[in-house]
Order: sequence, then structure tokens, then C-alpha cells
Amino acid sequence: MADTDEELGWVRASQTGDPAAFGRLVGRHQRMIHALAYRMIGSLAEAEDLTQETFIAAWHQLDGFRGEASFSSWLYRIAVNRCLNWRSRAQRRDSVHLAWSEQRESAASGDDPRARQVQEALLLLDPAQRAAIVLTVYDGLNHFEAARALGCAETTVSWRVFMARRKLKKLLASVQGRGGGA
Amino acid sequence: MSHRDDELNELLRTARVPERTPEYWEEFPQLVVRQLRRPVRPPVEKVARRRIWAWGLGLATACLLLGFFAGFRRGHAAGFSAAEVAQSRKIYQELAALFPDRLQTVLLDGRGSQLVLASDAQPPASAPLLVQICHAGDCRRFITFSGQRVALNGETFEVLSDAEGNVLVVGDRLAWSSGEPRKAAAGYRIRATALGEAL
Repeated sequence: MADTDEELGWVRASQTGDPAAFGRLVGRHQRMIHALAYRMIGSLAEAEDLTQETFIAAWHQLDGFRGEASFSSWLYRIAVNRCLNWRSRAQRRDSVHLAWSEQRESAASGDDPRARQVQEALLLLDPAQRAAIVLTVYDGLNHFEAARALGCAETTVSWRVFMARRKLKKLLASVQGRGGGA
Repeated sequence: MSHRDDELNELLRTARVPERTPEYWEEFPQLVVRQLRRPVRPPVEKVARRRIWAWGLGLATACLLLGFFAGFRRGHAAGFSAAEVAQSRKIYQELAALFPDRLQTVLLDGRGSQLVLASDAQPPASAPLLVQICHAGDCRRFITFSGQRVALNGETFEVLSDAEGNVLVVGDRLAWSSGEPRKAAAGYRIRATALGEAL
């Protein structure tokens, strides 16, 4: 997750108020943040909104970026916090599940049923546990990096990952059995 | 990481994020930058929520301040604890039931109550008033009515109440009002409240 010199240059230029430089940073990290948001929220439309919100929030908080962590870690942290807040409202959660169901219904016939079950299982996790799984499994962060992104202790991340895995194994037991050889 | 953890990771990674078109990703940074150039203005929902919060907070603060000042004023006007008022009220109710419209003053001391009764039944001039006058370590507490006289250390005080519910204690050397309780004088400490308010 080390920043390149080029990226650091964009960050510095953005900090002086250069939107074009910030646009380049967006271009570099947009897919990562979008994927994170989608896995956390489960709705494509809301993930898009959340991705935009994350970058806009990052722009306004750029003065707070001191380069102690990589820019992507810093961005992760903003995105994860937004996802957790997004998920904190029960009515929004309900609407997300509804959106996910609708999306699933309208999905192309070629959509992998296993993938659908996995996404559903992820959405059943506690949001903090889900964030730990998304960062470590999908984004490949180690527990230390995930802890920085989540703003918690490394041991907390390890515990959340452990708990999430235990729950996912139960939820996906049938899929895992069938998919073992896949 | 156990073998089953590896299997689980592999399974989890089968859940792919629905792909957007390359055009979408090309356009996305411009979309964000365009929003940065807009004047900073919180969303309508946020504005409304903030306004509600502001109103709520303002109202709560106003209520707290009102409550504080009312309590402060009342606390000073009364100067008695709720228990003292409740006890005095109970004594008054019992005695008033025994001597309807004849009770003029009840002197409360540690040993019991001393009564001043009118020879004829006469409706009281005000709600019952609880008054305590202290001087040089000697305190006397009375339940009385507006227009009655009480005595302490050979000095006589007239107890009055006004339309605003303030209790006044007027002697030869002082005039005290529960509306301005700090203005005691000549070494006297006075507390007073209308018991009627509590009845």
C-alpha cells in the first residue's frame, strides 16, 4: 500500500486546492473504494453514492492527511467509517436488504448463485466484522493495516475476523461443502 | 491459516463486485471534481435535521435555564427543603381541620406546636405562609397568614403576602421580602414561602 512518488505529488497538489490532481487520485482509487462500499452495503446504487461521498469527504479532510499512513489507508478509513455509519440506521439496513433482494431478482441469469449466497452471508455479519473481512480477505490488508483503516487495535481486528469466519462457515456450510472441489 | 480458512477465502472471493462500464469509471473522477467545485452546501436533509437539532437544543436549553432560574428563585424564596414544606403542610392541614377558620399562627419548635387561635371563626386572609426567622442562633418557625404578627427576641414582625406570591416580613428594624431574600438586615436570617403554593 505504499504510495508512489507520483501519487504523493497528486496528494500535495490536492492539498493546495488543485481539483485536477485530486481527480487523478479519485481515478486511481475509485474501484477500490467502490468495491469496499459495495461489499459493505450490498447495493450497487448506494455503493456509488457512498464512493462519491467518501472522495468528497476526503477532499475536505485533506489537510488532516500527514502522510504517516499511505493515502489509500487513509482513504480506507474514511470509507469504512462512512460505510459503518451508513449501516448504523436500521431503516437504511432494511432498505438495503430490499434493494439487494430486488437486485438479486433482476440479476442476469448467468449470475453465480454461490456468489449471491456469499454476498448475502456477508450482509448478515455484524458491520464491524464485515469490514474486517472485506479489508483482509478482499483487499488483502494484513491485520495491522486493517486496524489502521478501522481505527482499532490489531487484536480487535483479529478477533473480528475470527468471529466473522466462524459465522461465515456456518452460513456457508452447504456452499462450502459443494464448492470444495471447485 | 487453516485449510478451511483458505477454502473460505476462496469461496468469499467468488462474490465479485458487479462491474461498471469503462466509460463510467472514466467519467467518475470528473463527477467528483464537479461536486468539489460546487459551493459547499449541506444536503437539504442535513440542513433540516440540523435545524431540528438546533431548535431542539435551543428549546431544551431555554427550558433548562427557565427551570434553573425558577428553581433558583423558588429555592431562595422558599429556602425550605421539600421535606420541610411537606411536614409543615401536614401539620397545617391537621390543625386547620381541628380549628376551621380559627387558626391564626402556629409556632413550630422542637417540642411541638403552639397555636394562636382567633376567638371567632374568620376565613384566613391568605394562603398559609411558612416563615422562619433566626437571630443570634435563635430560630422560630411559624405557619401563619398575611396580616398576622409573630415575635422573636421581644421584637414583633408583621407577616404579609403580596399579589405576586412573595412573603414579606416587616419589623421595626427590617423589611424583608422573599422576592429579594438576600436583603435580610440587622443580623436576621429569614426564610419564607407560601404553603398554599405547595398545597
